[in-house]
Amino acid sequence: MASPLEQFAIQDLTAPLFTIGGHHIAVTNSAIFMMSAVVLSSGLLLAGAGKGAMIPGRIQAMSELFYEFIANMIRDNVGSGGKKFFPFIFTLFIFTLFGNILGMLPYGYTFTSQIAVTFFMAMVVFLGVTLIGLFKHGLHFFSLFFPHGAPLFTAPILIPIEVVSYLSRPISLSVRLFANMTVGHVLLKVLAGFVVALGFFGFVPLIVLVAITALELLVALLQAYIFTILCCIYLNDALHLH
Amino acid sequence: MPVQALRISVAAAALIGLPFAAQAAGMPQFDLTKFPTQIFWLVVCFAVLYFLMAKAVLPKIGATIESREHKIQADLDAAQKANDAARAAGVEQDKALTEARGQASGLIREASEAAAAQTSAKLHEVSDRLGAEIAAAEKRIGEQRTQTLAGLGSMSTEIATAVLGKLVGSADPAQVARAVDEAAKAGKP
Repeated sequence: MASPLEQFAIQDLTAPLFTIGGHHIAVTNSAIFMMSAVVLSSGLLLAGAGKGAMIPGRIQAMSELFYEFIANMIRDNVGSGGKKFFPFIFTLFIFTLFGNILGMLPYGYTFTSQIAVTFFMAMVVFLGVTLIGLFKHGLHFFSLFFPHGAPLFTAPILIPIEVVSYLSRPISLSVRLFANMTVGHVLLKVLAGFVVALGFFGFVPLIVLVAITALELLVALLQAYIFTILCCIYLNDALHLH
Repeated sequence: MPVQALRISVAAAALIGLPFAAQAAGMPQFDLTKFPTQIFWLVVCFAVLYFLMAKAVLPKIGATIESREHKIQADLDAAQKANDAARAAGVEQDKALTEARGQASGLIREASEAAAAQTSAKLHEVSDRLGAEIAAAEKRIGEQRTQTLAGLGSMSTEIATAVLGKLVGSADPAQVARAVDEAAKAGKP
């Protein structure tokens, strides 16, 4: 039986197209699904935005639902000054959501189960948010590391804790998404192995498999939401400093 | 939920044993040689998606939602205005109705008063005329009566004179007239 981890392997589907800094870049299975996510999501949303009818059809209603969902998320969690980042947060949500969902399709590949992808996105958000905070507040930004109103003598304990928790944000953000996606798919693969191995009695793990597929679909939606809302919360910290 | 518990335990095992498991099972996610290609495609795809969302999709959806909100607000405002106008028209109508009702009752009173006045005037006129006619008739009757009565005396004298003339041969008309008068007076109750 193939290892349940095999599904996460990156495979070059073409010969290397070009080289960047000594690294050969080829079209990979992961890249195909990233492109599919871009094409499908933008196709859907462009179709939804297309006519701009006063009474929306199904696709338009769905696109507007996405729009208002993220707009409300930013309004509630970031507040003033958050509107500028709406396209970025929206893209982040859609890209993660479609990455998670496309991985649920048979023969699909989940690019959000790659730590390289999630960590890079988390680092971009982390560094971007830190730079925004520094530009907006200057050195006052570092007051983020000392809770307002705490007694001064607690500073030697609180400041290191706050700094460590701040620095661990990109790790927790990226590992949460990566681990959830990886574990879900490993679990599905292992259970699918049982279905085959148990022969006639394979219907028992099959039932569990169906239930877990539904659960994984929920996790796919939920993790995209959590990833996005945490970015909103970090952005809020940087813009408004607690 | 057992499924959730199973899931969490697998997740915990995977997280705790991550570095070891990655080494032991050779988790493809930790193959550093595959990082650059993934990051390259991630940047390209994300940039394309961002561009499409920021330039094409989001402004359009935003404009649609905004124009819909404007339309709904405008419709609500128009409805409110129409409602206000209808209410004002209702008040106006009530006022006009009350006014018209007052006017009508005034007219009815006037007309009935005029009719009554006319009727009583006519009544007076008729009764006056009838009174005059009755008075004239009474006067005429009186005249005729006195005339008749006067005529009656001289006729009786004539008849008596003639009767006496036939019986006695002659009669003094003056004596006869006196006698007739006395008889007439005596005959009266």
